Amino acid sequence: MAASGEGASLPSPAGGEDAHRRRVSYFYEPSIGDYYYGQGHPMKPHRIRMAHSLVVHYGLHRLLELSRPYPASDADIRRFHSDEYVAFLASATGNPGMLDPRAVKRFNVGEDCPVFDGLFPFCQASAGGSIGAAVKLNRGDADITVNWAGGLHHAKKSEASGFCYVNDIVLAILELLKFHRRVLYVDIDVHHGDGVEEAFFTTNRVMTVSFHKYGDFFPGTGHITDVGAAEGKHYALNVPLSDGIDDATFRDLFQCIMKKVMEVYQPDVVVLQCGADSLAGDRLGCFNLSVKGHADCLRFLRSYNVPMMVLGGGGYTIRNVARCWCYETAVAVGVEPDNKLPYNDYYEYFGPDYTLHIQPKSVENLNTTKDLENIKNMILENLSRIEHVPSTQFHDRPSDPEAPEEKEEDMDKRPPQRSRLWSGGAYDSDTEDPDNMKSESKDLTASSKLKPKRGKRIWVWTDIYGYKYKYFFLRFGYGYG
Amino acid sequence: MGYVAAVLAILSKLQSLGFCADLRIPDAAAASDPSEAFDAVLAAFLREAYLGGRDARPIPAALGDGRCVDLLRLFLSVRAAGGYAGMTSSPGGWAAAAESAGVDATLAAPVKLLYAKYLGALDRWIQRLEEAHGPFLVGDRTKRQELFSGANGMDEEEDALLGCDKREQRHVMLKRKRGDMVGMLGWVREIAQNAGDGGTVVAGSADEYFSMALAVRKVVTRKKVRRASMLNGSHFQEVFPMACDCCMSSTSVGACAKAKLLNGSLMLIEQENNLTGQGKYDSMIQHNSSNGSRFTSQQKNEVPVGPDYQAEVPQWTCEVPVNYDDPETLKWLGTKVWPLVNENSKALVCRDPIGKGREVVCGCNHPGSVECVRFHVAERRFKLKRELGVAFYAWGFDRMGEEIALSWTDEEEASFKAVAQNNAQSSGRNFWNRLHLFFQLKGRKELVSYYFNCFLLRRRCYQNRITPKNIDSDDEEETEFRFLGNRLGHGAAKYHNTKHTICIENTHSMDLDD
Repeated sequence: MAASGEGASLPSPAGGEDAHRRRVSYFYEPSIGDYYYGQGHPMKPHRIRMAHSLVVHYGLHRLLELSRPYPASDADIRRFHSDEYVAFLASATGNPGMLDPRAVKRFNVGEDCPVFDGLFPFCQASAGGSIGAAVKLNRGDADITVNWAGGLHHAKKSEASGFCYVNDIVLAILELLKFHRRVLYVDIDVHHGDGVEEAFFTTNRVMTVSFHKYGDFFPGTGHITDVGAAEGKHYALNVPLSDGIDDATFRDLFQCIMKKVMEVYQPDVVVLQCGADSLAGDRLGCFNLSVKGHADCLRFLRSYNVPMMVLGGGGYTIRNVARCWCYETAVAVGVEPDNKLPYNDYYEYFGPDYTLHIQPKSVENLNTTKDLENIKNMILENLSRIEHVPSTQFHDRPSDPEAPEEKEEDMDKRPPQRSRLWSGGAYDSDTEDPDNMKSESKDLTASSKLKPKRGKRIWVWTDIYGYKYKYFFLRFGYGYG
Repeated sequence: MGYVAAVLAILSKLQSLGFCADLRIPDAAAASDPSEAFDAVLAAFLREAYLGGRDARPIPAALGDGRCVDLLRLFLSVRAAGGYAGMTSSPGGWAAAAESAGVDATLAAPVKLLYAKYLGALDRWIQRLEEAHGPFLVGDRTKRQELFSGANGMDEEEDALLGCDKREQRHVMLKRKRGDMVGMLGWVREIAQNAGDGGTVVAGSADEYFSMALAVRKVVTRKKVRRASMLNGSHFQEVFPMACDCCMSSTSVGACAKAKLLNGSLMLIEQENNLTGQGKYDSMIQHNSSNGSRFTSQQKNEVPVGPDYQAEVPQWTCEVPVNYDDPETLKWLGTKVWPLVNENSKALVCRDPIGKGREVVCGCNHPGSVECVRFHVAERRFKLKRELGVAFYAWGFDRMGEEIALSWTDEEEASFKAVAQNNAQSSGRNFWNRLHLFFQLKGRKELVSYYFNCFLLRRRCYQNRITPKNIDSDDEEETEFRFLGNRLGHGAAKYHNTKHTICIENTHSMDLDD
């Protein structure tokens, strides 16, 4: 069936009744870990295999639907990339002597982006997973889709960059745009999401928001005054940060900005790039986030109950990347896993403490309160310009400043017309009980039939092209710590 | 005669911009056929302007029907009418230009296209040079100042070109006659060497040098930053506090200028030694103004706009694809691996709750020892295999972890270790080439798999127990390169007496149900 194309939020909550849990679809290519960029290269696809091993050893797969991606063909990749570039990638071999030096220069392959054995199949798997994730969301088959092999946000239309060759994110967003009017792209990699920003710099159908280290850092773009061009003006946001940003600072800034973005832009679907090089102790990064702090971004966006695609990205201290993406998979399905890692195939990688979570480093946070205030103000100022754009596209859902009404277990009573679920902020609600989760999950098939334990039903009325649609959601939440 | 002078003027302008430095056109040659001389200059210019970029265009230029177009006459007539940008405003301008180039006036459109393709870049450079030089070329300014303004012009030129062919443009290296910079570089060196004393900078030509240094630095950093490396970082964005107002005015070259320029001077010297190489300027990053250029738009990299950069986004029509169930779409759903379609074995398996970690207590004699861990990992794998059924293999769990070493002989493992030790990254040798030589029967995949699943895992196993403060899963630097015990950990008893510890190596063939 074709999914809701109306640009509303979830047309029917997960599993028919229980929006407490999301239907999460996860793409994994089992050969991904065997691709190898070369000796000493920090990008290691093996980390995706490590993350998958943790996911399965925690038993999270029981709450997931897992698929092996269909490899994207060169024609699929050409939906964004230029013909010559794709032809070059498809024909490139691992033998550097065979490569045309002019092409090497033109397409920027070489040092950062080596032509390694199996390069093209690697790109096909990465892109295939992300496009598959988009199709799943388009069809309404899942509420959250995950592809840790995706998120390669630096790749340009005709050029490789920053370890990225094929921009799976752009390809996935192009697929999403077939069914969704507005796509929000959020990037928490330590590097600027330049490839995605550039691809959608002139459209307002995709808003890009990137939080990154700026100043004397790759790729050198992502200045706070870069806000998009032409129709896309004000639809690209850049949050430039300095070294050592910690959980509390990042959370404050992220939530403040994203709350406003969600309110103003009202995306139909959210794509989150979870580059794990913003974690403390990354080999190439310089932020100081813990796994929890990193995953809080996902948790926050997930709470809006908008269909969501979660992608990988950077991450060069591979043990922490695996930790992070495993934990974020758990957040997606709504489980709080134990800190003590289960024994698994890569157990020794996680020593000497063998825990899921990592301690931030004791480094100075160079982001001063004044800087952060400045950033916040400039971003909010930019967002306020969107609000004042007299465009019909924001009128398809009535806006309502009040919080949505919550009617616990009262499904028959018709509430007054309400708008978006999140206008009141659905985040700080009650805590999800991990024990409940466990008992529920003992029966996989029954999980969707279970009565919600803590969730609150919320009725949402919305007006689309003159028709009233009645949605209900369950309000849910997490302990936040 | 006018054409000859024009060609030579164009060449000298290009040379002042750093192009065609080695090109010499004898006056006689220019006089005999100025058009041909111009073609030679143009060809040399295009080669340099589009380094590594697009294919060379055939010269002399011809229209679709084979008629040749005199590029020199075309260029001069368009320049006379205000350049490419100016032509658009004058109706019939291109028809006139076509006539002057020796073709029919009706061919205005193809001639315009041809101009854009062949002469567009040259036009923009000349235009900018003229705009930038305007105030400087009058009077008796020194050559050095000409250079300075040239550098500025180049800068502006870049801004102007950002929208169209920025990517090509950025290949253009800083091309200057080295001699012109020697004085400035010498001055910079002097400051760098006397960095310690807080005295004033040599007066005299200092302010000239200073502004030149700033201009050159700006150009150099811009060039570099656009195609930076993720590994070396792009250390150019905020290397220098460019926004310091007191320094930007070249009149007040004092202690402040000196301090501000110090980083730059070091870099410029390095730049001289290493004009094209990947400089490593890590040590020079001493930018301490956290506000720097983060909130101003100075010195930032522009996002290029145009069909070569953006994705094609269709307008929203409120209509969604109706045929979204076709095989072309459904293929993207991939192969579903989980939940299993055939779930008959599921009820038998007693599973741990979702999200459960490891038990703190275990019955091993030496909890935490290599043997203990191996035992529990093997146990987990066994359980997992029962639970996952075919998914265990579909996800490649049979090819994960240390068990893949079972297909390797002791000798093979020993030689792998030896090759890795002798060809560590610091040795500069390619460890993989050696491995391929050693293990000709094993494919690349098998070697990579062994490297991540066994080799690194065992190294980490050693680090966790012997050097827990210095762990490295990412070959960051050379860490201790040893393993505990031999194959599969036998002999690790040096650290823990494991005589009584059960160690199960291969659960594939063991039945734990008993």
